Amino acid sequence: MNSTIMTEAAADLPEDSSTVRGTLAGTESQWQLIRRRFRQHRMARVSLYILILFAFCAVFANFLAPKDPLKVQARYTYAPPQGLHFIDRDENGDWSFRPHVYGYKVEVEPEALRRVFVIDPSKKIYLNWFVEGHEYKLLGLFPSNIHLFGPERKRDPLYLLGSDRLGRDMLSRLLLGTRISLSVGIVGVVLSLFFGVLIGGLAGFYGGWFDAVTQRTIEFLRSLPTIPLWMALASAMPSDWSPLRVYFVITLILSLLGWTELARVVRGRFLALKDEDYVAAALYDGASHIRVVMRHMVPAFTSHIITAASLAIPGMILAETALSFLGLGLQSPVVSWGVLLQEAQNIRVLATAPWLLAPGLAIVIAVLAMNFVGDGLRDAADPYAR
Amino acid sequence: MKHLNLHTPPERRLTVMALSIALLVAPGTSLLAADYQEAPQLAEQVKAGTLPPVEERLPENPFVLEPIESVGTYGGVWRSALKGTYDNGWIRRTVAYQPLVAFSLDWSEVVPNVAESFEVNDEATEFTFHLRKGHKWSDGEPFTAADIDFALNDIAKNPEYKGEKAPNFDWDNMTGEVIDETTYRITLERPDGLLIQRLASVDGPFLTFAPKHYCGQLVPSVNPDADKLAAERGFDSWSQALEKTCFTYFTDEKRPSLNAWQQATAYDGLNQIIEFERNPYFYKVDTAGNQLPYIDKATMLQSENVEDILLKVINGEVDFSNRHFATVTNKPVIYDSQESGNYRLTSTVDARMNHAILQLNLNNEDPVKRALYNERDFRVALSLATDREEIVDVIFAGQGKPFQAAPRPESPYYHEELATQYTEYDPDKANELLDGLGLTERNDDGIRLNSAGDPITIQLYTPSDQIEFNDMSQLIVNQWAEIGIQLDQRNVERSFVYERLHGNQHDMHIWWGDGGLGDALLDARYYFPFNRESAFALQWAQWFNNPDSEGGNEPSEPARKQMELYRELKASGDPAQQAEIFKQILDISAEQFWVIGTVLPAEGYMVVNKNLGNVPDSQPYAWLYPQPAPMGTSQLFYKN
Amino acid sequence: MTLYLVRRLVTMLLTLLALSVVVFVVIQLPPGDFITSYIARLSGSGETIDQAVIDTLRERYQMDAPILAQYWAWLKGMLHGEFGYSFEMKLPVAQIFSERIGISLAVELLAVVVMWAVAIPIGIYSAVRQYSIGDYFATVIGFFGLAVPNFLFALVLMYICYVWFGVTITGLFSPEYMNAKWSLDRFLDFVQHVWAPVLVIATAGTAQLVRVLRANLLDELNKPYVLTARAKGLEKRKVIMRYPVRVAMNPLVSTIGWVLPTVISSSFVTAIVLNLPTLSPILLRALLSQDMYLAGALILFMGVLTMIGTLISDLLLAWIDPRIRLGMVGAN
Repeated sequence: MNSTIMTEAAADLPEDSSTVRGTLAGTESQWQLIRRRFRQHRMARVSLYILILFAFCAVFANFLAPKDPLKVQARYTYAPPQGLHFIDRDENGDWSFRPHVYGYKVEVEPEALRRVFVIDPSKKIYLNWFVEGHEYKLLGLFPSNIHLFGPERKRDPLYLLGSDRLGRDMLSRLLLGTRISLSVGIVGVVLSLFFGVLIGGLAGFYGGWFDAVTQRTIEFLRSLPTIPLWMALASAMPSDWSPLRVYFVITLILSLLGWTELARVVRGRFLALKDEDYVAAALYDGASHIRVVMRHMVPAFTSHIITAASLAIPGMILAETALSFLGLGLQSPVVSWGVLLQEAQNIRVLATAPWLLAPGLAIVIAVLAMNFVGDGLRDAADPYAR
Repeated sequence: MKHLNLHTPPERRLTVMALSIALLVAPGTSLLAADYQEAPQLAEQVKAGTLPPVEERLPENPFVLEPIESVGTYGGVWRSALKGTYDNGWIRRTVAYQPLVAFSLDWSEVVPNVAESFEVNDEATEFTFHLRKGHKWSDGEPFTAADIDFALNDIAKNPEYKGEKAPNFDWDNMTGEVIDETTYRITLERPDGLLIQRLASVDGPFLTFAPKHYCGQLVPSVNPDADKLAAERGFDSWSQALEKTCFTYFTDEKRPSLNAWQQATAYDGLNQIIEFERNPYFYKVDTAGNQLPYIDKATMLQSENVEDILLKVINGEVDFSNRHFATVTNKPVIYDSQESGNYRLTSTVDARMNHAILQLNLNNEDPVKRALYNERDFRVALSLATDREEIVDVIFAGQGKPFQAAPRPESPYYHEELATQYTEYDPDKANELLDGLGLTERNDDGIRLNSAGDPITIQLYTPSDQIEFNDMSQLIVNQWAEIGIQLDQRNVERSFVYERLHGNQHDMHIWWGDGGLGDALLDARYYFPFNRESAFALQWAQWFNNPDSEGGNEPSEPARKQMELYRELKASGDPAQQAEIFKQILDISAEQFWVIGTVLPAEGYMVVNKNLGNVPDSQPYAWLYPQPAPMGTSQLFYKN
Repeated sequence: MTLYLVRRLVTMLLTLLALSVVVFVVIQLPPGDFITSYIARLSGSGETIDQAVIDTLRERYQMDAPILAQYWAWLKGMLHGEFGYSFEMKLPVAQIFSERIGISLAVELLAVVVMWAVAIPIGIYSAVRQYSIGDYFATVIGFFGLAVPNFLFALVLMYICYVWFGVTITGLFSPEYMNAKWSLDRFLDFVQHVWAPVLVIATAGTAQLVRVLRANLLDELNKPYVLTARAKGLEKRKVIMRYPVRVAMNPLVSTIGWVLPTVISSSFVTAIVLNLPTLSPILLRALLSQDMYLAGALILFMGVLTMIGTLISDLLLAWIDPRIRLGMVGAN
């Protein structure tokens, strides 16, 4: 996700960069170079596609979700995932392409207090495209009840990733959680990036009292141990706030603490760069401070900012899960990866329903992908690359 | 043997909870002093001369305990786990239940325990306890009536004492006197027919908990230099020192006790394992004359989270416990690992009659809400709109049945109408009732509007450490939405729930249905506005406990009638009469329908090491009856 | 340099004061106080407490005093070296602290050492051998450690050890050594247990260090002076170690001060899941039960650690990079 923002931003820039002094006609602009090099980085490219897929899932979560993620199904608590079959064989032994899953035989074991599910191959549940299901608003605007796919008969069980303790469809919940978790990460990082670069840059460039004040502020904020602070802030949040508001405030809290790290790194770099000859030259040349910073200094450590940002998004996502673990983060009915994992963090799930750990896998994949994209961008943006 | 039944013998099949008092439980056979045997380690110490012989350590008439299965053999360790620093409840449930009088295993009787016998007069105003001659504390000092007097007069009734003491006793009403070294008498100003049960409850050991020769040093009425001593030990006051040393925190392992195992490690939150070692002066023997306990040592690991405890359970590192981990959610895992963990499961009958009681705040500060919640039809409608079968299916894998806030079917106080009325799922009827209340207007979302024209929203805070409440509430949110009532449920820290509750700021409260078995009389919180836990009418409950108290409010007519009846009940020493009056109270509860119940809990379970002997197959589970202690845990032993 | 140091120390004291205010406010922020949470907990097990007792407790703990007076009393006590009394554990805070601090720091420092010991060689390797199999492998493993939430990793590790080896790996000692005095046997027992938390805590931080180091080193490696040095015939290993690595450590050093507090934070969750006898579970309990003096002192301690860390890293930064050192002196 981060990378899409970066590349979109990059797309606007070429005309502007052609006005940079010293750029020779016929050579590629900096951003063109970056794009070309980025394409050469295989892992980063694959990761970018994965992230685009995640983003797509996030935006169209409701459309993609086959079931209502909040709908409780008494008969199907802790139902294991059904295998998806594509080739159907009818009584005559003829083959056809028809995606389907098998139904369950459900038995209650009263002694063990659980339901036992056996896949029942005699009960075929065919899947159709664009079926009608629960109502939602597409992109938050257009009411609709069409879903990409779903069981032929609306009431048939369809649990491709299994169900949770209340019989809710894990796949649908995961899709919805993607939306919240990714946006927490991105919004949070954008905020911290903004504060971090601005404040850190100013402090590093001007030094003096501003630097001193910033340094002390950062030091102060950093010396506040994060988890107790989150706990206190989260429990102090008025309990009658809507879940959405809680979500935004939590993002804000996360980024309020996130900017300091970036600011400190940026400042350190500025301090070092300030005395470089080319910076001094630009200043003597009469360039404005803003221009010197944006044109000459920032590109010199873009790579570092990118690395830091690409590490910060997963940090935000993980912070959200940690808050949920402590029971302080987002709450149902809001579904995030953190909320889902929090519900899964017990021995019962590990022993009898490991499919509920799917959100953990989603987190790992997303974090890995973001890091590789960040890596690719870093390498591509490296001004000295061979 | 004089036997006094505390109430009418129930006609129902259950004899389980018929509570009676056995005034004299005499051991079947009297044993000669020479018959006594002791654990090998103690015998060695006697031989080495560091310990007096067993005959001198035991009282003249030791308590002879009839084993559940058989006479056992010495040895072994009983392992269990504690959660966090504040889990002394488990210690009190296992190794520290030695009250003067105790509940019998099946909770049907109050039997002598530390006291050899006791007498109650017919008016329930005079209680006389006869102690055992030669009974000793775990350090060998004599235990006499003066120790009880110390606990009652110097601690509980001492106005200078600013610390915790056993709750639910009316101390001002009690006067104690030492008759002689082994006889103690408590006299009451106002009769209390329930006192003897209270003394047998988990709070009862308070009177036998503080050795005068040890705790007395910290009390000015015994030791004039108590404050100085407290300061020397780093406390602000003698109250603080006494509370820490001699109340049920178990933070001072040196305090001598009457328990089967004497504490060896302080439960201070820092020690990771709390150990209890055999008390050489323990006053009970088995029928063969072996001094109890059989097991050498009880150890309790302090863990920070339940998942860790659960893992230890299924790995066979817990011998006899149900503390924290024995939940509905964990049952499948525990059930599956019986073989590999070398344990079996025994059953418990939960004294709680409900998995969740929903209490609308009838004393709500908002006049519109108050008026609405006080409409009986409104509460009935909510009850009818609750699909209890769905709750049972989803959350309890089909185990449990719909039930209101009423004594359990096993209880002698079972009241069928109260238990079963409005438990059926009938949204149409519920809608009809709401329409009948004039709540016909609805907003765009289909939520009914109240008399002020606002949508009816009931706010409910569920404590985040009780997952089942959260899950249940989520189901109920959807169910009530069907009849146009919005339940706004949030999961929050438990102390926040109580903050709101005690400020009377709640619309609705959710909690377990305590008081469903033998504890119904002692804890009647859901049957009428009774105590601080009666969240449906806190102000009325406050009025009941103290009509002059700030925040108290005069109750409605029926509630006041119930309170009068309860006072009448307490004044009676006759169990039959008590049961009769209690039925009248429940009649009014049924008529008023104060609170909404959900599901009757199915059987609970306990994890038991396969080699452990003398374990009851089934036992009531409650707090006032501190399961498993009333079984006499000193008789547990390992079969070879 | 001395002047700089003195000034830093003075500001540190002021920051500390500000920190104490914030900490006090923060622990007072959640609604309710220790008594409410105590009552709530009692109700949980079916217990009750009499109103009269509640009133005396409130009076004794001075719960109803104005917040400013409470703060002043707290601060005054701390200046006298009295950190207050834990309501919940009924022990002086200082005693709790001294009992647990050793083992807490041991686990955390061990995790830091492992993190650095693993991260620096891997970081250098994956920068020098960019895009090699080894680089990808280190990256994927590193990110995996970063991506798996601590609590989940710890829980899964616990469960796997139970299923595969039939052991419970929680805690830092076997039951027989829990209350024992330190001895060789106890130490060996400790070593047998400590790997699990160190593994969980270190995996979370290592990736971050590797990434930062690799990125910085790549920046430096491609600079002309490296080429010059190589062209002059210096051995590759020598060149890399002597110049680029040193420069690349710069941003890393500026975070060295935060490593310990970060580790403390991440060990917070791990310690609870793995049931470690460190300060973390005590802090969590104190926060939940609003045991304010205990929570306050522990948070303040974590703050002090961070400040010392920042100071160290600033000094190191000046030492490692002469340009900053000179710039700094000039500014003064």
